[in-house]
Amino acid sequence: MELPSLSVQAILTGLKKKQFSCRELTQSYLARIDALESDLHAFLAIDREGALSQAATVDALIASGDPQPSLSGVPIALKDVIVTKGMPTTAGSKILAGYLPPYDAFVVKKLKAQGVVMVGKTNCDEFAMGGSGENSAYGPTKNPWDHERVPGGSSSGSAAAVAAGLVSCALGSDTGGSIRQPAGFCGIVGLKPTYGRVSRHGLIALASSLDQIGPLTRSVEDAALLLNVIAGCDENDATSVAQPLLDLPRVRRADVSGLRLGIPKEYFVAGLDPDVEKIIRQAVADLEHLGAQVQEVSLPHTEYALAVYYLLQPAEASANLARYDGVRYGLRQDDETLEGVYRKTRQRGFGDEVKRRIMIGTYALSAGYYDAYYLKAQKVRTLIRQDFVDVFQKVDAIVTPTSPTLPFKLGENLSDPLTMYLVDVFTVGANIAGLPGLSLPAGWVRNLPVGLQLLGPLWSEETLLTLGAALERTLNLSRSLPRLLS
Amino acid sequence: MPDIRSADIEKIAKLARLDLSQKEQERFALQISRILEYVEKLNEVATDSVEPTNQVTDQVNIQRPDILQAQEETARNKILDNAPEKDETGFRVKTVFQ
Repeated sequence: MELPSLSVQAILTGLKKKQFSCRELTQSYLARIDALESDLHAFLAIDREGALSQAATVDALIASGDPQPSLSGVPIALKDVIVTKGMPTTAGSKILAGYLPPYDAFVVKKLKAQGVVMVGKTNCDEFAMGGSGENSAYGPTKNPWDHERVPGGSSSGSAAAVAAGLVSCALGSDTGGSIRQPAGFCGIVGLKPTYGRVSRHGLIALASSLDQIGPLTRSVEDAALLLNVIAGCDENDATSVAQPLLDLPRVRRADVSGLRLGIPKEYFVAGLDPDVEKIIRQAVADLEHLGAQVQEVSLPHTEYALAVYYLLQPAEASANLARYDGVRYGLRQDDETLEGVYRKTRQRGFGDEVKRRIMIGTYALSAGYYDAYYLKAQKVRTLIRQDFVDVFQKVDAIVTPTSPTLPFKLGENLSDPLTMYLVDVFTVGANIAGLPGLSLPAGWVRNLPVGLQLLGPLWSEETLLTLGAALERTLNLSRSLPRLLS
Repeated sequence: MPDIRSADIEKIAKLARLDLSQKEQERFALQISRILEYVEKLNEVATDSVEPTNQVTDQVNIQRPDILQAQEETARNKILDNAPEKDETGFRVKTVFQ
């Protein structure tokens, strides 16, 4: 059963060298899914037939000796907020139960063109609203390292599936930390690209000025490989920006000598688990040994980032979720009047967290409150962006913990919505400022993973991945898979 | 603490097209009050001379030419297939005008 512990790069090499066939590879993932999925609940849809059919196509192409596309034969899963033509897509919500998208998201088209084996769609918090996976209308995903704990969210299923070896890599989406935080809680790599790097066409929108799609992988190099495939300017996303591809050899060289790292003092305060802090500080020391220069920096508006986020995101969400009205797709709850259909459909189809955020957003945008809430948040957003611009005059990247705590237990943060919002405290800054953020495993505490986060200026993914690769190599953490249950 | 009452929630819910029960209104009123209380800490920040941020990558008016784009033959049917109620002409809804 060791094929599922391979990185994407190792899979590509192994297929090329004919060490295994794509069919064998795909079947080994499907076998692990059979063994673990009923406990983990990482998936909402699995396409065994399609996956094996694509694997056969890949094997035939390899046998022919013709050149292979760059991700040929790589088994991948996609968070269920990314539309896939003809494959059910629910956004983790009952309001889209039965929805079959008539088109593929831009990133899906890109992946298919490179020959991936699409295994299925992964579970997530409803409409990507959550930090634990517990807001999925289809039941929560479990953390593969401890089934009583959350895998993080909202890309809960993608993170768990990669960590458990159910797929070799996955895509998630990140609006306030939803790729990085679950990557941290599951002991894998997660990358939120710079806003605009990856097209949002076909991403079921949560907050349009904050959302980005990104990879969850078993290695830093894999994240770079995947980003190069999914990135690109798209005429269907007016916010997407053309950028040069990442220099993969530079990432692999992992040379960090002379790179300047900032440790923001506002991120190392009470509330940060001391065991987590110890691991992060040790990792920083390791990077220093490798030639990076470390200095303390300050991001003075850090304490306001969550408040900015929990005004802007619900406001944008309230607009983006207005389309779920029982008319064109999904659930419809009948009533005598049109307005009744809208109200009853949405009442029945949306979970509590979704309703809460829609209402907060509606309130913040409503007449009389817009200036005090939404406009105010947009102004503080400018100050937060400026904090980062100022710091990046002095350093090339910032190092922080990904989360203030270890993965918490299922049910632990459910009694008070505000407590759940606080788990995002270190990740929302990157979305507010549009910056890229990378989370990678930095160590273990009581058999639970600890994630380290790297943040950089706009378009600096290559530097972050280079730093990540260096740390990954030096830490040399075990890449074993969670044990199969008997 | 912002005093969001059940009656306020009723108004917001109507705007947001949500049909909440009385009990839900009360529960959400309390939760949303707490959340709004938290976000009011933004009042500590001086922003009189600060411009709001609408988007972070400084792009301006990306446009495409105003011409029809060809679609697949089957696109229309695939779209209508998802509709809870439809006929040959399109989506069916309740009467809009009485």
